[in-house]
Amino acid sequence: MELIIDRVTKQYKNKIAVDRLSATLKEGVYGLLGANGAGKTTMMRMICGIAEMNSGEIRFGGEDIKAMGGKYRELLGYLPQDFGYYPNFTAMEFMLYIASLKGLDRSYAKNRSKLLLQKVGLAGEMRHKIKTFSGGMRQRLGIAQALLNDPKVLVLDEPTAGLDPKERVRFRNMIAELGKDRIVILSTHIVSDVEEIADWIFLMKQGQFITQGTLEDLKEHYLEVTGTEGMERFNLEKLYLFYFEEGEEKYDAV
Amino acid sequence: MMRYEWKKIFERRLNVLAMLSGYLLIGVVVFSYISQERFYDAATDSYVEGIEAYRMEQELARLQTDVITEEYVTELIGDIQSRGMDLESDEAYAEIIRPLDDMFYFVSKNYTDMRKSVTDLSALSRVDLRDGAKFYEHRMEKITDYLNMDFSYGNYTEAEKAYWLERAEHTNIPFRWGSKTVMSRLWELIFAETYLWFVVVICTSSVFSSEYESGAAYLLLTTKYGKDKLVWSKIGVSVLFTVGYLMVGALLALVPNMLFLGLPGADLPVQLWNSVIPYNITIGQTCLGGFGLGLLIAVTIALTLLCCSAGFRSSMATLVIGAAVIIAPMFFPMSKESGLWNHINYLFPGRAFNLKEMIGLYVSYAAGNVVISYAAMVVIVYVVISITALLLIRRMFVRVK
Repeated sequence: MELIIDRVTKQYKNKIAVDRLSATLKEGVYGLLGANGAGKTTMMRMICGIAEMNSGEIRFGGEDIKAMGGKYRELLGYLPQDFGYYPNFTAMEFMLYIASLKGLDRSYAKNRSKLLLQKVGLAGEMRHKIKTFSGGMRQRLGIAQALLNDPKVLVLDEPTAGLDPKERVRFRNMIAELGKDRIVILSTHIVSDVEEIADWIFLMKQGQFITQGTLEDLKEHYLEVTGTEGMERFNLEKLYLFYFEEGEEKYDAV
Repeated sequence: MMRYEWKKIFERRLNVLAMLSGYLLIGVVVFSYISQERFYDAATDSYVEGIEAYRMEQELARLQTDVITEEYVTELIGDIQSRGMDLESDEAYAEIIRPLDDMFYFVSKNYTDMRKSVTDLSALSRVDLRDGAKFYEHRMEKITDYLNMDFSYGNYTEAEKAYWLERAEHTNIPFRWGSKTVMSRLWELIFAETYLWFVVVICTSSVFSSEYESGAAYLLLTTKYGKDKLVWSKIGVSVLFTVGYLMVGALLALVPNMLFLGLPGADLPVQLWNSVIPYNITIGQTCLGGFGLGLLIAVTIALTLLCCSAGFRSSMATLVIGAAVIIAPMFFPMSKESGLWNHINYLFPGRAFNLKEMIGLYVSYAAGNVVISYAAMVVIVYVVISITALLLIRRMFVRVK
């Protein structure tokens, strides 16, 4: 199972949102870290096939995802950023609706929905209308729907946004668990989320990967670019701040 | 999947409000038509209202004649002419027109120039009765004269003339006579269903755009069936909703009519509405056909709006377009110079729905020897628009940006 992003570019009028990005993703959790407007959401939408790329190709299992169409979408789970829910649907109805769109058998969908709602802590609220849910509850519901079809590629755009610290910890664990047998791509600007669970981290700025690697790789990279001693005190936030706050021109795209 | 699409339509407060308002409006119109009908009872020199008025109109028609024969018309016009009254005067209205009710207008209209939109009340004073009223002969002469007239916006082609004359000549004569009032009211009710189009506009304008407005589209489009079955399911629900909503509206109009008045006159020839109509159909069939045409136009409007909804991704913009498509053309004037414009103008929803009017207008679309009647052209145009919209909706919705 391999997802290959091959020199993918996306341009909006005069702005290049994603600039010739390439990566090869296998089972594991991949963190896309970057400030707002770095191109994370565009990249994720292209992986999901809902944003057209100007050039390049994304392949899953050697096949172009565009050509795979429904076959690829069958393997995909997606949690978009700030997506609307249907306020008058109950949590269960919403899950069953998405399950029908994912082509799941109704009785399987029912059981799976119950299980997932339980997993995200919404078992007691499954008959409640979504309009009564808090932001965190909606986010949990969003994660649950993404898992309905047991996806091989799970794309989570800001999955921990709106969650309280306790919920975030719970989700980090859940995502780490999910990454064992599938490709999980999550974007966030919360550094600690990525630091905790991502096997591989991409730092994105102005549509390019400014650096990437495991946490260890990034430590070394940090030392290289800053010459700072004392690796034991390194955390990802330092690298993030180095690139995103201390200077605009401090990188060469990798 | 469709179940949830239904739910989305019925759980939007604006939709429900619009649906109920539409039906309420139909209810009010039905009630007013039934209760406010007036008939002049010559025996008591007073007006009768409501259901009794309809009953008396039918009774009068029965007493007048069963069939519009030459003899009957000659006798009728002879009687009118013998009174020597100015038929446009109040006195003539009280003594001749009012007691004859529909019959007077029907016969007068036959002798009124086809270019006149209102019945010439004095036309019967000028009818030469030496060889009888020649009612049906005059009908054909009138049609022939009209087809041969010079119009500033363009004349009929030879093919069109032949087409219409052939149709007119093959109309079944003599016409059967009876009261058509109930059916005329029913037609007006069917025509009132135009109001329900606005409900269709409100309910369909958000079908696709709301998914984009809420951001849910990004999720839906990543699911297995998000780019095909979902789209067809939304289209299916919207079309079924349009048809269902209008059908229920029609039933709301029809049932009280049936209960209180029945459907007298449904089997009468449509020529009782206008003697020049060149179609061998009954008034009931015309009402049914008109409703069918309204349904087709409503479905076309719905599909076009679904297309806009998917393309513009804004419910408000789609709503405005839908309302404009229905309302604006009603104010488009007919041209005195451009026949092309007039032929286009006839096809806009408000006009294209009026089958009763359309079948007596002698409007046709000709290309060489091929002549297509107005009604057929409406069907062709709206079916083509519907199919085009159907083909575009999916492309618009799944088009990634």
